[in-house]
This record gives sequence, C-alpha cells and structure tokens, in this order.
Amino acid sequence: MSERLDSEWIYTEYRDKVFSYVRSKLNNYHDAEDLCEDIFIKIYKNIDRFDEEKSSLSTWIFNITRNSIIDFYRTNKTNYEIIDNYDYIEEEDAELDALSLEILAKALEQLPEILRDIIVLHYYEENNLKEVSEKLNISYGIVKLRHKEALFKLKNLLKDQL
Amino acid sequence: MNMENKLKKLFDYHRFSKNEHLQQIIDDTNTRVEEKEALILDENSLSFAVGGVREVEDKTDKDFLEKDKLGRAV
Repeated sequence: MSERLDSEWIYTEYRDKVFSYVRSKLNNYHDAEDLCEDIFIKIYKNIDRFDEEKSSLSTWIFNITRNSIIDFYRTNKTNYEIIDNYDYIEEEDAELDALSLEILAKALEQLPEILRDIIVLHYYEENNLKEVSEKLNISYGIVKLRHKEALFKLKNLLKDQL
Repeated sequence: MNMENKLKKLFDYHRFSKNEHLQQIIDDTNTRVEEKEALILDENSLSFAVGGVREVEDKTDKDFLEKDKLGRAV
C-alpha cells in the first residue's frame, strides 16, 4: 500500500464525498451515517485490492459506495423503496473519471440550450419527462421528441470518446 | 451501454465527485428554470390582478348602472 493510501488520508479526503452521496440516496440521516462508517470499513479491508492501473481511487471508492447502497436497499427493503436509478449498474463500459465528466460537459455545451436543459433536468435532477415539461413550460409531446433528439446528438458527440 | 444508462452513470458519478465545468452547466439550467418559474408566477399574478381589476370594474359599472337606474327611478 502506498503511503498516500493510509486510512486516515482516505477518510479525510473522501468522508464528505461519501457521506453526501449516501445522504442523497438515503432519507434517514442516522442510516446514512451508519452506512458511511460501514463503507469506510470496507474500503480499509479491501484497500490491497485497489489497482490504480484499472481505475482511479475516486472511481474505486465510488463503486464501493454505490454497491454498499444497493446492498443496504436489498437488506432493508421493508423500510425503503427500492431505488430505480441504478439500472445501469450491471453494465460496465462507461468510464468513470474526471476526464469522462469533462467530456460530458463539453458535449452538453454543444447542444442547443433547450436540449441541454432537458438532459440536466431528467438525468441529473431526476425529474420524469412530464415534470421536465412543466418546469420548462413546454408540452410533454415536444419534450419527448426533443429528449430523443438530445440523446441522438449526444451519442454522436460522445462517439469514440466515452 | 445505451446513452440513457451512460448519462445516468456519469451524472451519478458527478454527484460523488463534482466536476466544476459540469456543475456550472447544471447551475445554469437551474437558474433558467427558476427564472422561467418566476416569470410564470409573475404572469399568473398579473392575470389575477387584471382579473381582480376587471371584477372591480364590472362591479363598479353594475353599481353605476344600478345607481343610475335608481337615480333616475328616484
């Protein structure tokens, strides 16, 4: 283990990121705190498996965090609704690192404003398309069409990059 | 991976590890939405106010006519 990867450093560097992400997925503050501590225990136990040639430390910790949230939902399904925005989870071919987010940002900038807004409101703010149409004050039918147009354009813009 | 899942995954990662450039794009969208909502609210208040004024005007006209009618009758 490199010196950089000691447990105190990891905790200081990632505690806020892990907690705020977990908190965004769990309504209960105490559950989020408990889960956050469990995640760091997992990180310390598995740090020897981290391979910086395969992924960045941030991506590795993110994957542990996300998988821990899924496990939490599976074991607490009586108290929590199963989250539905992890349906990408089994698919692994999208790179996750700082560069991929920069590539996405540049591609979004090339879209017309209305298409960019639809993508942000739907995929980041997690509004359904009906809610997006209300927020943008345009008809649901138009939002559906423009959503497809935005996906098509993004696919071309991101081709061979992500 | 299809584009929808790719976007979900990337935006989810952004929640964990913020990219300033992407966050600026998100903030810009949210600002535009807030401005649009404020505008709609203003338009609604305006039409409510216009409606209110019209109601008062209608009532005044009616009162005037009635008074006039009463005036003449009286």
